[in-house]
Amino acid sequence: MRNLFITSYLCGFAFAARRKLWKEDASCLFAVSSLLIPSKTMNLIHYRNPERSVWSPFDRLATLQQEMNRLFEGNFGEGPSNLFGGWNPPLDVYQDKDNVTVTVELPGLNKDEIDISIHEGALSISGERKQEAEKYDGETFRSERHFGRFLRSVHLPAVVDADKVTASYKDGVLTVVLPKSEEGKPRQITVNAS
Amino acid sequence: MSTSTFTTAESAPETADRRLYTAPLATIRRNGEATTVFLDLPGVDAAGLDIAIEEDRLTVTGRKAARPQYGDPVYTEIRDLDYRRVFELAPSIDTTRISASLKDGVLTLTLPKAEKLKPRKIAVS
Repeated sequence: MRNLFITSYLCGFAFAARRKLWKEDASCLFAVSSLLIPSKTMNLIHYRNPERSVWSPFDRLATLQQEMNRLFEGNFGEGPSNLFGGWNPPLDVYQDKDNVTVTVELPGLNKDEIDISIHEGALSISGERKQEAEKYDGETFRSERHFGRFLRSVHLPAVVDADKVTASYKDGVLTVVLPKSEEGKPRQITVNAS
Repeated sequence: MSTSTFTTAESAPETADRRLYTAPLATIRRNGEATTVFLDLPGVDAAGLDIAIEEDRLTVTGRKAARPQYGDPVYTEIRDLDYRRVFELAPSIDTTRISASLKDGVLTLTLPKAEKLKPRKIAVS
């Protein structure tokens, strides 16, 4: 009985935390949300004075539209969502018969600030873009660019040789070339006539 | 907002092949000396960058350098669009002294305030 009490208490706590998150991020979407979300959940959405928001609601709407477009473009439906904060730098994966190549748009980073690791067939690229690097005394009155930590992980489409991976950073684009290991390469199997 | 925010088709030049552009993300800062605009232009090198001032408009166009053929796409998020953004300049900016630098996909534009608009002390003789 006591356990049950504690569990329900924790659930309530988690719910409250989640609700706060909604409040922070969803308020700008109020106008759309009221159309999209059934009235039952309306009490989760609190309207916030737009003047307090750094972003204009139109920016948010543009983002929403972009997210929708991306959903319909059919990127496996698992692309990163950035509607709710955070920075997910866009990433491409290509493969030919010898290599898997991953490119990420990461403007304004030092190459030492980028961490690349491979673990169990997944490639992780993480790092931090520091705003302090751009020293400036004065006021900022528009801030659209992304700063802070990021982490992108992708499942590699083939088995790669982790020792031969190379990475280069040029013009704000990181390119990681992952040579396929012998077992990851496509093989032609001839059928023997018996 | 990892890729575009707005495409500025309406301000694009009328050419045979109408291009879609994406607006690069910007940070704008200002102090007593100058206004500084930072633009994220990943994939653009100095050769692909075009900055033009016409009357009171500053237009930045960035073309992504051609990428080598990496094979078949498995998963793509990066949009293959060129960047374009137009800024209206305040009359207080000295357009003859605008400077720009491009490093690691970040363009920094420095727009100095016109000398005559800076505060001056007048000595009493």
